Amino acid sequence: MNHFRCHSPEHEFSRRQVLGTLVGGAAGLGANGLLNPVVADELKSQQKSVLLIWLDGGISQFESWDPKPGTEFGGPFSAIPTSLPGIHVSELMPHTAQQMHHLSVVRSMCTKDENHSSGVPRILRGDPKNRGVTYPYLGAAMAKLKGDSQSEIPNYIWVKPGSGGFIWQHGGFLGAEYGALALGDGKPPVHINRPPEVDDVIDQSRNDLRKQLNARFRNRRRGAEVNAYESSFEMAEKLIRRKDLFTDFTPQQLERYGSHHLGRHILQSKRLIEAGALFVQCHSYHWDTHADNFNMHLDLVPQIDKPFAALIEDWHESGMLDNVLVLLMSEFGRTPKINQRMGRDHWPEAWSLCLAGCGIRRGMVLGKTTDDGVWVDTTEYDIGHIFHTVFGAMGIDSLGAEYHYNGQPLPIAHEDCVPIKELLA
Amino acid sequence: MMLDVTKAWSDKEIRYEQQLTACRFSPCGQYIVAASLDFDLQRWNLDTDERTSLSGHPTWIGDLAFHPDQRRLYSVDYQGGLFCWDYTQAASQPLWKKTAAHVSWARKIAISPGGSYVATGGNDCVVKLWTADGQPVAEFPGHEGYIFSLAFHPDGKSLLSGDQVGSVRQWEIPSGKQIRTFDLTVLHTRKENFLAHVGGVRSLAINASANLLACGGMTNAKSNAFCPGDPLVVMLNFGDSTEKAQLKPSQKADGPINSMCFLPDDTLAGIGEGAMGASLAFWKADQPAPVHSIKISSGYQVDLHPDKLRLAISRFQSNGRGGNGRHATPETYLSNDGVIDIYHLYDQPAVDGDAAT
Repeated sequence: MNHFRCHSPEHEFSRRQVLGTLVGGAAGLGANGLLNPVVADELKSQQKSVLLIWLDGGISQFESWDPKPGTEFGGPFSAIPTSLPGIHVSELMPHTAQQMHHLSVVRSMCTKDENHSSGVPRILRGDPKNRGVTYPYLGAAMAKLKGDSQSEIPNYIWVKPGSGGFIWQHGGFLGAEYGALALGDGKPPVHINRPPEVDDVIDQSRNDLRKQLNARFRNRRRGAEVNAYESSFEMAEKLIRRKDLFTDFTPQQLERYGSHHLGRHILQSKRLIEAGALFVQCHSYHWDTHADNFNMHLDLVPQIDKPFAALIEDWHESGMLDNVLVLLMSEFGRTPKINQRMGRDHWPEAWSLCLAGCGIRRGMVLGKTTDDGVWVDTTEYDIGHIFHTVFGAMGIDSLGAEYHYNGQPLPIAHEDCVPIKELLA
Repeated sequence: MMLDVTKAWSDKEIRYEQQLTACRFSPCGQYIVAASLDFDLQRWNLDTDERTSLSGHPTWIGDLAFHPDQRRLYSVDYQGGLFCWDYTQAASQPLWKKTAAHVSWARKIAISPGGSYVATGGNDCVVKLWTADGQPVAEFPGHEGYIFSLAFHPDGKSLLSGDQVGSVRQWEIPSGKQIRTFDLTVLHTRKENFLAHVGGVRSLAINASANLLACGGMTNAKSNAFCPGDPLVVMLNFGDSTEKAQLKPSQKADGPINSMCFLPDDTLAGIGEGAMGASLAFWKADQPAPVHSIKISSGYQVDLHPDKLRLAISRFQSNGRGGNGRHATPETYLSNDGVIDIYHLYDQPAVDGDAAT
């Protein structure tokens, strides 16, 4: 029996829980790594970050990046011009429209999975060919490929609504140490404050004891398990030292980004990235508008429009946008057909996503859909293309670099896909 | 004919190639007009089945209403437009239009019983009162959510408006003085993890003797994504604002009661929405369960014919497989349809052949 395995991936996060959850997922850690260590060192020497903003459930492409007003499936919203001449987006995105010259939008996404349960991990793992292994999520992959274990901030942080915890499953075959540190509601670990009765001397003593026990534990187990255990503890310790990252936002910040969940979470993600986090995934739930799609998008889209536009503008002005790649997407788009509850269902056949920042060409709309928005009318792009492109933008040779898992070389992105050169700066 | 909703039967189904939302009989009883998702009004002559499109709205039409002069028809749209048409003419040009009657969506419209006033409401949370010629009379601010429903009092001296967050307000006409508010927050849900308000007072109906006010929608919504909830009508004693009963459909459904109307005997007809179907239900004011129910696909509006013996509903009609994913070729991927059913609210007369047997 493995006493360390936790069957609840999203429990409340604390140092103790991190210790308890991580090691169980470390089974199978072995000779995982890049085939070429020199490449790995080169990658890790660069200071680049990724912010993935994930609208879980699927934002409608019609009501965002690819409006088709006046057409059979277009819905009630109109299209507005953007800062890119000739390019229009939904009227629900007036702030983002003014930042379009900083963005690249792909309107010709065509993916394979129409279900959430399989589609979300499939998309976030890059939908690789089935090789009998579980691939890492993009954040875990990035932590492996570019992460710095000495970084003051954990490499892969997941800002999400609800509860937090250590989500070791995201590490896939790379192992638990590459899992996501989830900050429930963007808040710090619940035990971030050391109890007042524990002074520096006591704290040092208990850390020494922990290390001693780990050393004994290591003698009886595979080293990788202990490494994972240690790294999870260090992850918690790092954040404990950075309480400054979790102070209240100013009224001005909340006015600019919005005081709702997504506004706050994007602000929190921005802080973490600016503090040195390699990869932050900022998650928003409840975009799965099978009913009342139009009333819901009327209220939902402004919640991403305003903070996203503010983020892009702020990072452009500060120069951060040159070093941070921002990816805004869902697991699929929504059906052209309007259903019996005035909703739109899941539509992987033709949808849109947005990239901006580090390594990405600015002011670009790639691909198009048919006039009625139902199908892709140009080259179709799968999520594998996006993984290649993100890796490429981050300076990773996605066609050359490989993972090495138990002697098996594994491509870091789908081998039938390539980077989208048009998107790369 | 004796009104008997338990014997309701339909002999007319009008199908259109786009979903139909609002629908109403003309006061003369000869036409039925419906709003379709292709931005047009569709007018059917009930005698000949001839259809004419009234085109001009730049987006979806939120609602429509007939003036009692048997000539004018009004409609509002999701860009804030207010249009006036001569529905007796084939020409599709509006008599006049106000393209920015409201900021953002104009969702609902109602005509005062004598035809002196037109009331509109929408996403700017303001009820606006107009003359029948479209001149502004007054604005009634105060709602804190989108205005989803409007109904004039039968005496024409006040107006009721219902909103997204479960408030119903009664306004004096034409002054706009707020007479009172009704708490219908049972029809609104906003849980801590929701990104949006769900539900709202989707429909209002007041009976001819003005002692009953029905407020329709749904309660206990589970999420802002699928928006599943329990359809509900709250029946109020209009005089003292007390709750008389909570009416629920007998057919399983998960969406709001979108539209209601009182019949001459104060039976309430209501139509709801549901992912797996819904119902046209008939309730007595004090009985939670309907006295009769007809299973339908999702319905959007119910309207009583001027003869008080017929009822029209607009409803969803699937056009090929829906749901997630493609399940169709480009040639067979089509929008869903809309249907208007016309029900007779009395026992179906026996035809000659039946009588012979």
